[in-house]
Amino acid sequence: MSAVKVGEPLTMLLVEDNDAHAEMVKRSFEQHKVSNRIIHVDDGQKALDYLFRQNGYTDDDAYPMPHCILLDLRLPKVDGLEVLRRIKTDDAIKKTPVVILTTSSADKDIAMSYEYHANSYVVKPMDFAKFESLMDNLGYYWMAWNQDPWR
Amino acid sequence: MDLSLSKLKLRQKLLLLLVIGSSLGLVTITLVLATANQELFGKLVPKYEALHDFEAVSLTLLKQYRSYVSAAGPGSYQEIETALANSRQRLQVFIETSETNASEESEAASIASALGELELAGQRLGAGRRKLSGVFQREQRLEQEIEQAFAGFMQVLDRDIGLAIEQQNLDELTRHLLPELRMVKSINKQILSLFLRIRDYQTESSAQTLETIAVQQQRLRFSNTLLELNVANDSKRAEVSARVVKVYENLALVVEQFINARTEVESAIGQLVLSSDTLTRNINRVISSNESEVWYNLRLSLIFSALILVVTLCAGYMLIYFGLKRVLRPIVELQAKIALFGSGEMQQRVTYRNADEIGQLGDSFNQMADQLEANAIQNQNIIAELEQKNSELESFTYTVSHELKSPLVTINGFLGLLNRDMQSNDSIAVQNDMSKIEQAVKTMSRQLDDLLELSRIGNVMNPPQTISLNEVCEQVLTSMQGLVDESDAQIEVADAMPPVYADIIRLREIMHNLIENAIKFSRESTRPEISIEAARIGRSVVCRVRDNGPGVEPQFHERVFKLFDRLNPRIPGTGIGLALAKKIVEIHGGEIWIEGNGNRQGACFCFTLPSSGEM
Repeated sequence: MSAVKVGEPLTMLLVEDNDAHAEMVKRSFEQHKVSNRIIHVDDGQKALDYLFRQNGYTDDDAYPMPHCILLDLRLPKVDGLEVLRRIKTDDAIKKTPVVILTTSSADKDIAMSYEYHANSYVVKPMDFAKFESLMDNLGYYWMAWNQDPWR
Repeated sequence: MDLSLSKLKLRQKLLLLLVIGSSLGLVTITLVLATANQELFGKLVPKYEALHDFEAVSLTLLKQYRSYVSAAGPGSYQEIETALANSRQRLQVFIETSETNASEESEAASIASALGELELAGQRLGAGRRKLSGVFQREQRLEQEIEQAFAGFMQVLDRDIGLAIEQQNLDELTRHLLPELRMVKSINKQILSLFLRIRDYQTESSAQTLETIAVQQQRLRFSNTLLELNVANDSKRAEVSARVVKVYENLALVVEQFINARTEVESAIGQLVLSSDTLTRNINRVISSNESEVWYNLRLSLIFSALILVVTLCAGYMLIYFGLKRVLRPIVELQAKIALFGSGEMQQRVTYRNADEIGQLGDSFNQMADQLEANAIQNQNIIAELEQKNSELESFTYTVSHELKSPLVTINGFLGLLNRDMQSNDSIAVQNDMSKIEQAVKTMSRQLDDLLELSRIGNVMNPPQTISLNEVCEQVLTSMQGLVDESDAQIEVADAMPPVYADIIRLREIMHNLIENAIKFSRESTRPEISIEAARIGRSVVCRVRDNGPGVEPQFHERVFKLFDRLNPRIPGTGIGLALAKKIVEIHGGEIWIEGNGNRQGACFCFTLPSSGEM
């Protein structure tokens, strides 16, 4: 398992099954020049494959370990909560901040996410200006302000 | 009701009889014990009385003996015999009242023997007394004889003294006659003294031994004097002297007899004293032993009485206690069961089953409890069902709201982007933004349609009818001809599939969803090849829709039927189609499942519907 390399461009892993939403996130980040690199996977199984270096995600240069993970909850194949649980129970990856980004504001989802040690939980705003502002803040907060655990 | 009432009355009667019977038994036991007690007393008291009577009589007897012994004459002996007979008679009574046990027999025998000895001693005393009185009579006669002899002697002596005085023979007078006179007077005096002593004895029996010695001494001296007289006396004097000697010899004999009688009397008295002592001792012993027996029996009797009391009380108490307990037990049980039932133990029932009022009460309680328990179980089931429904509904609402929000976020987001792209005149981006918005709106519209359809199932149903599966397939394929042509799909429908009995509109929906899914998933990788077949198994028809797509891995076999659960986000769909199909099949009492393990081996969706029953 390769660790995050210091000095590399800041990488964010976006786990999102809705392509339109993924595009919105990517374009928001591009607009504000937050992240150097956003990698998008569209189901839970692919996210796990990526993080655990399996099923075609073995190339460290093409698929670098992310500094932060944006995770949707309702995902095909492997559910978002299960992906979160797997991340947070693995000694190598559990330090990586995981931000839950979802349309659900259900109490049960919030409670379960924190139960599995999510680092943050945000609900996708309906309004586009707010959406961009949230992405801007998220990017600055997790990729710039936040002291990552590998330093 | 009447029957049970009479039974209860019978029970009451039986209980009463039991109480009366037990009471009678107790009274009988008490009476028996009391009789035994009384019998004991009845035997004891006369025996005790007889003994005391005997003692009193015997004491009188002894007193009589003593007075007789000390009395001077033989006169009172008659009284002694009377007392003796009396004493014997009482002894007999005592023996008769005594129980014939060995110790008492031996006691009685020892008393009888002591009494016998006493009698014997008394007889001997009587005999001695009689002898003595004979001696006294002879002694009185002898006294007269001695007086006469002495009177004769004194005449001779007076004559000789007169002659000697006439002759003035002083020598003769002084040497013979006057000493002789003195001697005779002395003897006379001594004899008189002896008689006096004997008479004294008749009134006062003492110093008898001394007198015997005095008499013997007197006799010796008298004999010596007579020897002297015989030498000097003439014939007349010799005759008188001989008479005196003879009288004196008689006297000696009488004295000897007297002494003998006296000895006998004394020996008898000694014996009498001894016997009376023995008698007194024996009586005392018997009295003390009998007294201790009386006390023992008295204690025994007291213990008996106490025992009777205790037994009566205990038996009475137990009778009342158990009788009441038996009567009250079913009521107590009923009360306890009701209390337990009331505190939530709904399985509590009364076990008392007799056909009386209490039994009926118990039956009523049991019926009520059965009803309540059944109601409670029914309520619990309803609550559980409602809870499950509620939970399903919550889950549904949550899922739906989340899923419906998603396209709205997309629409809003791309409207913002569209605005920005239009300002920068990026026509390609504008095209893309508008296409995203259009897709999101379509998705949302389809989702709403499908959700509406889903909500109708179970509420809006068309009456079931016999349907040919071939006809349904034909209709469905016609309706989706565009998609079939576009994907160049090859679709095989088996000939003469068995008819089913179902709601035809819903059946079309199932077929439409399954065929559409098969085309959508297969076309990603290859030219879709789809086959539809059906077979009748028992009273159902199993229908299979097979494709040559990627297939479904076993871990997703259940999940794909869940609302909004989608396997591939790239393939358009609402995530409702399979959930809808599952619900329709289940409403018809059938099942739906997937065969095949993925790995690009194709998938086979299978479902069952009721057979129409016609072939």
